[in-house]
Amino acid sequence: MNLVHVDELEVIELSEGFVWRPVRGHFGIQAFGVNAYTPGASKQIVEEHTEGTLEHEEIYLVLRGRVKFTIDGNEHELGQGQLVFVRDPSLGRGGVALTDDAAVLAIGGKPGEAFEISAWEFIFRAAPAIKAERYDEAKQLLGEALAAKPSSPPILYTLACVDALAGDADAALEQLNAAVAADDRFRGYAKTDSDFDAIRNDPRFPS
Amino acid sequence: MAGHPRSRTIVGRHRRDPARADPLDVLPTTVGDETQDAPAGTLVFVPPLVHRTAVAEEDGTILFVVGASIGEAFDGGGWDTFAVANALRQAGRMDECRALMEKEIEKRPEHWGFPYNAACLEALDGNADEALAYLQRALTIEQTAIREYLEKDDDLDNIRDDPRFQELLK
Repeated sequence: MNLVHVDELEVIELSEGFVWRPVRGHFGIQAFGVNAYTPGASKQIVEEHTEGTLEHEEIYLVLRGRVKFTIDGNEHELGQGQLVFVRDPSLGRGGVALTDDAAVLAIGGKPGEAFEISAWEFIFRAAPAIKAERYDEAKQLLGEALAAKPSSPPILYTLACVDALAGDADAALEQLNAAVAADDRFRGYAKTDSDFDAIRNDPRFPS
Repeated sequence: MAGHPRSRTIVGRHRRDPARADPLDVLPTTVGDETQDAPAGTLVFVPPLVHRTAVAEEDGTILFVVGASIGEAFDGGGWDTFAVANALRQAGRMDECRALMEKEIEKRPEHWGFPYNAACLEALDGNADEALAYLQRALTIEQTAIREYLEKDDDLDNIRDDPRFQELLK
């Protein structure tokens, strides 16, 4: 049977201090986005973010423990079995665990569109390798991601970050320009991203 | 699970209709022929054609269910509306039941399931004229699938002997 307890799911700690427990990937679910989170070193359990890029509606269910959610600046303390739904993708949202045993299930999708595996799943998976400066491993993971989602701007952008950090200016500039060509928002992100400090003065850097 | 003093079924035994391409659930406990305990925090993934059911072992058990069709924009298919409408009917609030179904039929005129289920609700309530009128509406949208249901759907047993129903079967 395809059955797993949330504590048995893979542990991927992200630099923001929360722990991603991949549910969709564990089961190979293709019809909808579903993932679990537990607190990391910082007690963060749901990263501070908006759904501005993906335009997903999201619902969070507290599976265990207590969590303080902040949605559009308003704080809500939720316990086991409580749900919070965020319709407006532009609203900032995040959650901090108030108890060590907290676990949250998150479900998201864009109204009126078939579900596609989000680029962030691949990027989160590569994040621990990037943080630990295991750039070859990160590049391999992101290369696999690009095979699954060809020309995905956020994956190209993250590959550019890794190439820049690894000192491969040519590859970094190629990937970065491809990301910007596909989605111009990445031009702005690159301007303030310290990952690109080593290549910022190159004439090929998107201005 | 056998031998419980009263029913604690929390998910009725069902499978998803293959004609609707169909959903995947995250929930506990009997899947196919296999039964497992699922304590709090357990996730169960079920592909569309596999039978699944769950029985609560403790009072206060809550299941959270998520489902969708692969490669399609989400469309709940209306089962939740039908459940609410049927509850209204059973509570003797047939006017509200009708108003709810009419609203849904108007919202999604291309879905034969709404007039078809409205017909079932009317038949269950013993209203043959209304039930037959809804069946006619449903048949203007879809023929093949509805004819299969008409043969064996026990929701329609109250009108099965009506000559007008027999006419529809021809």
